[in-house]
Amino acid sequence: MRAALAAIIVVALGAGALWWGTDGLQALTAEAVRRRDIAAAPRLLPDAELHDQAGQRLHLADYRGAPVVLEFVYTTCPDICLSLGTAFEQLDKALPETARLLSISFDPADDTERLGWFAGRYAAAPPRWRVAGIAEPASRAALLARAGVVVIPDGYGGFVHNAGLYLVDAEGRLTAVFDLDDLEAVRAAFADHAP
Amino acid sequence: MRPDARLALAAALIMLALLPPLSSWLTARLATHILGQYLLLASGGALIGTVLGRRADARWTAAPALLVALFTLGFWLLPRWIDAALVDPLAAATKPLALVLLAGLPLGWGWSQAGPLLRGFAVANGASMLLVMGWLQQAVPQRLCNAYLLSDQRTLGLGFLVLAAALVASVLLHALFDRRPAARRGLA
Repeated sequence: MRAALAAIIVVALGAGALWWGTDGLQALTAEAVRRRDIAAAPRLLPDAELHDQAGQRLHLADYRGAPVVLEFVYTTCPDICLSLGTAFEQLDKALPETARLLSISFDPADDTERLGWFAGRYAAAPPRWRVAGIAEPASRAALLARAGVVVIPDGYGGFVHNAGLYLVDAEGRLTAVFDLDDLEAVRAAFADHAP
Repeated sequence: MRPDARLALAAALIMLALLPPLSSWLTARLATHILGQYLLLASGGALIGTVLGRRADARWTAAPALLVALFTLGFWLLPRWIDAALVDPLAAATKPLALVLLAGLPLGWGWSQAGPLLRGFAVANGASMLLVMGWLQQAVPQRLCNAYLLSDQRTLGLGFLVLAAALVASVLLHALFDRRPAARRGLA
């Protein structure tokens, strides 16, 4: 009798802990938690000095005033960044003319030439679609941390990272992260944000 | 093994899991994080649990204790909390405490208090859960942890499957080569 009672109490507490630990079974992975957190409380992204595929220097804060779609890539990436590039290529066609796309490389080795390769593959051209690196290591780390981008070495000289399409509003706040294949959601969200 | 030897071994296992140079090596890969560090911590706790359990006679606590261990392991095997323990200091500090005190210790205690039927059920349940988790890690096409590679996930899945097979094999060998009369095995 007391065994059954104790077991029921343990099951109730255990189920409660699992419910709490998964936000009500909504977030089993850190990635799900990140996306929920960002959607619930948009994050102001720190400014960073960028250098783009044309060798031009500018600031992330220069994009304020209009919403922009961000993605994080590295130019020698063999797989996921190509999907990211393709997703942007499709957004390039689908989004209104005023929309801006920004591919940010987290690889310090990506210089103007390599950014140019990546841009050339998709005929990306500023100001519509910039492919940019961040020269300053501290501001690169701060931006990645704020956005919740986790980059790990893949063991073959490349990187693995949690990929997504990032919507940043006119105030420079990261408001949503979408899956690569969820272009419709980006388009819809963009329509909501556009002035 | 004598109780004080068990406790010494438990302390050694736990220290091995948490010592800085080794602990960062263990957590660098998913498979060694779970099958190395988690297993060391839970085994350390389980040894302490068996020492405590052998001195006590509270058989009714067996099933609730095993359930506590099951839920604790389930919680800390969620990809979200595996990741969190690597970046969030609070989660990093809670994890070893939970694995020793709320997973290993009740497992050892519950096992020493459990009768043969409950033990058999616990092993069968553990093996089938390991099989399902192993299969899942092999089958899921995307990364579940932001901190680990997909190949790591596959390795862990394989490790779970091997562990399940080892568990089943050990019970089978026990059953096949146990020469004690049925009554003394408690199964009659």
